[in-house]
Amino acid sequence: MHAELVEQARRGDREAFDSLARLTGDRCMAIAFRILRDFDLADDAVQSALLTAWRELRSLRDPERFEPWLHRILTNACYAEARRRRRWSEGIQVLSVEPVHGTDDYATVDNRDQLERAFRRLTVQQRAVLVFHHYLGLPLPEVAVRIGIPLGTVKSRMHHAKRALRASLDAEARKRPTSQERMA
Amino acid sequence: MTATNDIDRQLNDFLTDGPTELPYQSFDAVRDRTEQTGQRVVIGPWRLPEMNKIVTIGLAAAALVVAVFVGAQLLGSPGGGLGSQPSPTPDPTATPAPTATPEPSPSPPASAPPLTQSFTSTQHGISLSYPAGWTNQAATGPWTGGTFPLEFGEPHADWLADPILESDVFLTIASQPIGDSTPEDWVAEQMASDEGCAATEPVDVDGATGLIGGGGCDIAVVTTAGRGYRIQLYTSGDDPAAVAPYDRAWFEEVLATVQLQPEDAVD
Repeated sequence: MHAELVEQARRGDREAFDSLARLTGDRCMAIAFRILRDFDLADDAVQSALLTAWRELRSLRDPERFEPWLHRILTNACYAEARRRRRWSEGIQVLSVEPVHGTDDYATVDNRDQLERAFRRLTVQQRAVLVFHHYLGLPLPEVAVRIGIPLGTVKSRMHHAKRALRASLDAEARKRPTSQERMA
Repeated sequence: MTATNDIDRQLNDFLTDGPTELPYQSFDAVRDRTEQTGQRVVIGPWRLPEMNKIVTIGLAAAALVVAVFVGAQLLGSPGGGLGSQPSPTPDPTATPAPTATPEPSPSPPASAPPLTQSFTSTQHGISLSYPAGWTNQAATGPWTGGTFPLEFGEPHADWLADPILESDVFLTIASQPIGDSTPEDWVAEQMASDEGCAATEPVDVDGATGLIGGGGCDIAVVTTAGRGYRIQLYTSGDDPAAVAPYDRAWFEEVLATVQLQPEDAVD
């Protein structure tokens, strides 16, 4: 859908690339944030991905596939940002986030916090598969194309990610006091 | 209790929340950086959406005339024999600009030299075949950096180069322990670096799995037994006809000869 802009940008037209970036950047940000769970890291990943896309645009063979191609670059940029954060935070003890316990009005928030913690425990590669499938709604073969891994690996990561999520949620549920215990 | 039997629905809801817009300052930052950044030149396959056919035919005819003239001069000169250049390189003053001429020579070298020489890297723990007549420069030290600086002749890599084209066509090889990284992370980091490839696909080199670049990016990155290998074919864009035989198919031929010996590497 952006093929004409892609063709212009491939010929070095920076205005065309700027338009492409503005057409695709928001979606990239949404993806990157959901993978990295950090606004600044996601921002950095998107900027890095767009710059890489500009530099490598001539290697894109099919202009119609610009966005999938960009998403693959973005995924790699997210991996790089995650590694950068990991190196930066080495030696810093990460404080565990204790569940917030209050009235039952908090139950939804509580569940959401649990899911956030469980999601963050996944590898960034597992998160990427979940985001492309559950957020973008892509079928698994297309997820494989966008991330640049075999379909079997996508299925494997999906399986392990969900199993890990379930295990984390179950563990948190066992730790959480029941309503009766809270009232006591 | 937390419902874990409907993880798909929970994930869908969970992932709906969150920002969906890139700050406008970020768009401006990208724009500023592209102003200072050029686009990487890609060696084939060539696409010419804007090339006028008449111009193409004219340029090809001009190149053919020059090639015939040069060939006649060489054959006619006493003791001249066939030239030492591997490709019929026309007089640059008569040759159109390379950017406008994807195939400037009507008869580029038909094929690359056969892979009849064998190279074993004692530093990096790898053996492979390379073309007859090529020169090699073995690494004299370990590759310790996180990503790969591509400066021709760096001592931390093995270099196998065409003796004539030299810095226009060469293979470079390096390896290092992947340390605490997972094989996937290490490979992804290499490919995500400035000297990596934007588009990649899975590759198997001597039983080791990893990624190979797409779209003219001839870099293979694989891991085995806790060691990561990076094998690259570099072809410059300065003389497309001369480097034309060194394409992806040729690179794959080279990769098919690779034998990884991580236990022999020196760090």
